[in-house]
Amino acid sequence: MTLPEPDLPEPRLTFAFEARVDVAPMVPIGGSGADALLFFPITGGTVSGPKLNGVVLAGGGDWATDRGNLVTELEARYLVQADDGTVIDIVNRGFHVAASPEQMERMIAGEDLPESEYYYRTSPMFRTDAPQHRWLTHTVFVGMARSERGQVCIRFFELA
Amino acid sequence: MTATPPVLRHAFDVHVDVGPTERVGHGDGELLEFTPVVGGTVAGPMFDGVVLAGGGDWSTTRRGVTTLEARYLLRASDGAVIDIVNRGFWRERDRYFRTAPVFRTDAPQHRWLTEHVFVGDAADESETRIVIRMFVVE
Repeated sequence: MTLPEPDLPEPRLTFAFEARVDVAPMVPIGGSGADALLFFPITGGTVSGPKLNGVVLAGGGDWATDRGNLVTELEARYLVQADDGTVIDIVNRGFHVAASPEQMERMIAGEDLPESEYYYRTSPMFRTDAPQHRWLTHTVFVGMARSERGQVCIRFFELA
Repeated sequence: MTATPPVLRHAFDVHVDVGPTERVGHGDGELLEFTPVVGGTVAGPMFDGVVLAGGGDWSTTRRGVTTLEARYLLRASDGAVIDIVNRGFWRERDRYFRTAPVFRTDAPQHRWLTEHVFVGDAADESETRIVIRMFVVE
């Protein structure tokens, strides 16, 4: 059966803001089977860009599952306080895929690696009831992450 | 500051056949509805298969924005079953219909689905069929 070509607009990604997140040393939690759960506490940071400016509040973190095959499933939850005082909740799920076991160890140790050497992408969801930031809660975003000087830097792109 | 976005590569299209929407109810200005998934097909450069009957979309509507949370199963042409959780938004004012799907499977040939971020671009194909064009975020 041949289906008609769907009438869909081409999706576009537009840069919205960047979060630079301070991360404390990783806490190993344990695991079952091949999976190991790691916790990366979030202690602060900054947010800047055309659509949002503010700070990252201390608290929360990234509950990351190391699947044992160079793939780490990320599930970060923390809070951003915008310049106007509004607190915004973020749940950021995604994947880090390392090219080799050595590279993965270097990443966990906090070393900066060129962005082109690994896959580090996320799918964030935001919550707030502040009218000026409500668009965050009903828009799909894509995050493009990297480690830089001990921080995790995530550029958020709005999907249009 | 400028930033180059990641490339979105067309992976496949999911054509989902749906049954009549059930109104579940609402509280505090919010309406919950359930739309059952009854079947469908999947075709595209990176994946072919069918949509299995079962599951559906639990959608929540408030103030003109519907938050979508669909969960159902795909069966690849090689027989592997893949779980999909597809969250997203439908905005009445600008007809924005986009999703962020997450896949689960342990079939080695489809593991890539569980190791990449995806986005979906959706539209109604008919009264009873929705198409979601899935893009892998490179």
